[in-house]
Amino acid sequence: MEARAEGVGREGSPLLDVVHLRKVYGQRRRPTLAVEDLHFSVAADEFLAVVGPSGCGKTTMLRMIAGLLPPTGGAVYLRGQPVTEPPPEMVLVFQDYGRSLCQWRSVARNVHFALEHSGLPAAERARRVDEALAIVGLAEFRDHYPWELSGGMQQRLQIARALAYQPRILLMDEPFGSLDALTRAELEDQLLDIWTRQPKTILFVTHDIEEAVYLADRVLILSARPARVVEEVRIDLPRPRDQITTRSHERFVEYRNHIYTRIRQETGAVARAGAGPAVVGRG
Amino acid sequence: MRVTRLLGFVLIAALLGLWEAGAHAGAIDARYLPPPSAVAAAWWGFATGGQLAESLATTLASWAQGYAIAAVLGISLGTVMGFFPVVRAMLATIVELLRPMPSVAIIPIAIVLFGLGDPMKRFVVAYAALWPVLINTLYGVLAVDPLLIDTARTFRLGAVRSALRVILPAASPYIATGLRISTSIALILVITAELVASRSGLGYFVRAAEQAGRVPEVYAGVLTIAVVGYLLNATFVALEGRVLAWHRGLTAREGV
Repeated sequence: MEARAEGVGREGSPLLDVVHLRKVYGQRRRPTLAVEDLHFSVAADEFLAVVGPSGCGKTTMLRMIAGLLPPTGGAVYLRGQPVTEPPPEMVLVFQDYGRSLCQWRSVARNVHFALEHSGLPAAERARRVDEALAIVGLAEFRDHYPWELSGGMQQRLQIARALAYQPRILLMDEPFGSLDALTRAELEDQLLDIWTRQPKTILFVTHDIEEAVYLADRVLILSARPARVVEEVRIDLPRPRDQITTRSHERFVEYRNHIYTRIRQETGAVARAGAGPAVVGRG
Repeated sequence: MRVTRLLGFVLIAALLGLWEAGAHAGAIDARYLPPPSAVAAAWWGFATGGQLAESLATTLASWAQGYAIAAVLGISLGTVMGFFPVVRAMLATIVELLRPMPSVAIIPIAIVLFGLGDPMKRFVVAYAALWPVLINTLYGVLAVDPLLIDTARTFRLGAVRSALRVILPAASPYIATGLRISTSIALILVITAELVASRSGLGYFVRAAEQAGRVPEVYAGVLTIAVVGYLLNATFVALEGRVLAWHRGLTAREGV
């Protein structure tokens, strides 16, 4: 069941290399180790899911990969080039959609935001806005303000903004975490549909094991804080996937149980050690 | 809302009636408190003589010029201070020293620097109106959600575009508060400057009337200033309501 092949996805060559990534917060007083040693690769057009106990440093990892946060040690390489600022072909979809949207802009203008400095002609920008809104099913709400929409619709808007940008790599931080089960299933299928039609590399962080197995080609299991990769599981389930048949597939259940057990061992290990947030000594 | 406003006007009408009757009955000394009819007559003379339009134009011009300087300077300086901790640390002490000083105290210095003309008034107004705009812009910029800044970074907006398209719009409710406070502060300062050191404007008109003992004209001038203040504020509130409709909707929604 465990496939430990080093980051080789469907297409072969790695696109993104995360090399011994480490992050320590609050250097001087009480340094806290958030990310201990993350080491993995993501192949072009791969759908990689990352699961781990809550608060294990997944968001910190994504912010470092997105070029928003400098690592304390190690590096992220995109096509062999170190990432030191947000790369043009990468977009991060935040967990907290409400705080990431421009509340003073209409729905359509929020999507347009992604394209305003792209140098694209106005007609092409308008076309992409319409297309992205249609994909997430918000076309008829284009003139509404974000605060007039429900949580699920606001998150769809954030996804539409990312899609209009047409990034090569999409980083997603628990994007469906605060949505109800039905909306969530609907958005999972939309995301898979988009990924199939416009091939892109997706790095999807979630705390929902079933969601990870359902969506991904490969699932990375992270340890409790400080984060490191404890195992990677290749998900060998047929595509296109379907909420009912895929989730009742024999192997789906095996993957889920295996990952669940592994994460339980991780959190259990922390509980036995009696450790709260890990603290690094002063030496 | 409409009914309470109506009640307010009813009370004003009643008080004016009482004042008028009191003056005629000799209960109020008309030398110090002339009846509304006398004040209205003085105001009518003031208006038809062309003096009203001239004074009003002078006062409003000084107000608008000083206010515009304060707005541009306050918003840009506040944004830069909010953006760069080094600039903020450098300027914080100066701001904290100058801001609590009553702005009228700058008038003697302004007279030394600029004499008694309009440039002096402009300077005084700009100085006083600067602080609320600056401080509110600074707090507004500091209050911008870091996630919004990360969003701008992930879509690779440069510093200038981030400032114009993310920071300033997100801080605009704070900036509007500063601008609203400064609307009336600017009027206070322009009238004060005209009262103590000028030869033109509504403030000068009031002082000249007072020194000549034309008491009804003093009242007519003061009432005109009151109406100007009321209208400036009402205009600002109406504009703010239109520009910041999104913010009202957002806060109403969050309040639920």
